[in-house]
Amino acid sequence: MILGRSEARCPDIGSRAEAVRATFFFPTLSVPVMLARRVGKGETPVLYAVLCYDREDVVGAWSQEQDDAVMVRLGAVQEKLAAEGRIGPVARLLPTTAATTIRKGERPVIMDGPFAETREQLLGFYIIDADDLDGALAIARDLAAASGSPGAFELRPLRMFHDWGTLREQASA
Amino acid sequence: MTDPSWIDAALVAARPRAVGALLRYFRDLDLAEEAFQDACLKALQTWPDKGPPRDPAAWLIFVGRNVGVDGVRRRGKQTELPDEAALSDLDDTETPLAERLDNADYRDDVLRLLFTCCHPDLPATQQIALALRIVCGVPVPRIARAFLIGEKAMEQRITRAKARIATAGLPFQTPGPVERIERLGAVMAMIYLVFNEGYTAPGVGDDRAGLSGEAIRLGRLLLRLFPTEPEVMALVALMLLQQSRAAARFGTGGELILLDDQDRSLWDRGAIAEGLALIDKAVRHARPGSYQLQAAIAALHARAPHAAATDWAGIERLYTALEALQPSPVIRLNRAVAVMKARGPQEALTMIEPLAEALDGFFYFHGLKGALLKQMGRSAEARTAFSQAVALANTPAEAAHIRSEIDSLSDTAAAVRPSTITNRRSS
Repeated sequence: MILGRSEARCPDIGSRAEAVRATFFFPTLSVPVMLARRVGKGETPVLYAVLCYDREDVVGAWSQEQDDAVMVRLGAVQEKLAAEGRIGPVARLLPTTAATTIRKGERPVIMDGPFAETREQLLGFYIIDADDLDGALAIARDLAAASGSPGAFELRPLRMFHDWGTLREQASA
Repeated sequence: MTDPSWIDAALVAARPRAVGALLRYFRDLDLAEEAFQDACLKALQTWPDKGPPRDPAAWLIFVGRNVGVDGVRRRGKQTELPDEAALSDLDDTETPLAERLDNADYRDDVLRLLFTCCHPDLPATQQIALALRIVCGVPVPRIARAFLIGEKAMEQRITRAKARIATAGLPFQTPGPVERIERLGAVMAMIYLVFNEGYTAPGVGDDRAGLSGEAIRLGRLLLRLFPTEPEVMALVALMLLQQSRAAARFGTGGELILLDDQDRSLWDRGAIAEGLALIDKAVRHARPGSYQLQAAIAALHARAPHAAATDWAGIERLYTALEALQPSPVIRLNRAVAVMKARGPQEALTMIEPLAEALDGFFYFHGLKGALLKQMGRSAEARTAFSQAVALANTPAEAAHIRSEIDSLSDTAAAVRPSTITNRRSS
């Protein structure tokens, strides 16, 4: 987008912005391969979900060029980690305005978006395959019923999906 | 050390809230804008070394207020500042200001700012220019290029718009619930105008096409202020779903490519995912509205893996509901397209014939009529309709598209059985 931005005086994005995107690494199907490799070396695997937070309105004000530049640099880091077998799937989340929250309880309550004042932190992440919101909510209801703890599930649509674990397996094959 | 790109983005993002609050304080659009510009200059001087403030908008409002007041004093109080005591909502002081700067508090400021730009006294072109300048912060030369007019002319247009608003008076009292919903409706219409200004642009990537992106940003801003309003969700969904096709809508020569013929692999999947998520959310509220119906129609197109898989019967039902909600010949015309796809050209032609008078000056009417007649093998009549469409085309791309339709009409087409042509068209 050319319009609506002040002229970008510097094409580079600083360290501040690098911590930005809701880009995170989380174990899924490719993780057993990752684990086997580390255990085989006598190492103890320690997995982390890296959750990145920043101001959504500021990130949303980036020009396409700025956005692309950040993605390219994040991609380089991810590729390095993937070569070391240290990265699982990477997902970028759509804006919080596209989110839906289901609050658990005897009768789960469904709400629009995450709310700034929610006290719970993001603790886990599922990728589910549902046709639409109703399907996703049905799965979330089942999860809520099975979890037996207080809290909430946030249903957030994904924008991108890279399975670096699979890429690494292909590369080493 | 704070990165300049981050500061740029932070200033753009803070602009609606900051200018909105400064407008409430100064009650004058020019003063509010100047104060914001001055605060931005100060930010560019101090943020790189000292680091950005915790809340950039609060910082800009506080600094903007101080420099604005200084400016007014220097000019010998040409503009009388409102008596602080008379302004019920002016209890801002630095610390509490930063504390209460959340959407709930500043929602009315931003809504007022947006509503100011779509003042009913302003013609649509002035509304769009004003919103781009004041809310989005687009520099005047770029707005001028988008509208294909000179910088001076655009400057004058914006000045005239501001003068008209100043004369009409701004609504500064906190709106009641009913008034707030009315303002919301006017603001949504203005945002969609900005979007269409960009969407009808003959190409991607130029200044005018960039207006669609600005409109989507305005829509997201509005949605953050009203996160539970299904019509706002749907407006953003509608814009995203339409915008998702931007790269597929024009050929290499700038010619228009219709939905049926578009390369769907060029559609922006991220925009589609967000649009579909938003329309799903909106529908859950069970409070239908025109943006929801329009977005639902766009969603049916977006969900179809290829043109032949489009749920035309579903689209026809949605257009029927839309027409019931807001009867209009243009909506009926759109419904006729769905009828043509679902049940053939004869029924669609019968449907649009009574619209001839109302839509005589409308490009799409003659274009559709020509296409229907062509499908039915009535070449001569099709040619007449297409000729009228060319004369009414809004863009060179539209005219070129209709001319190619005329070129494909052959005298032999009339000899072919209508059913054959219909089948070929709908395959």
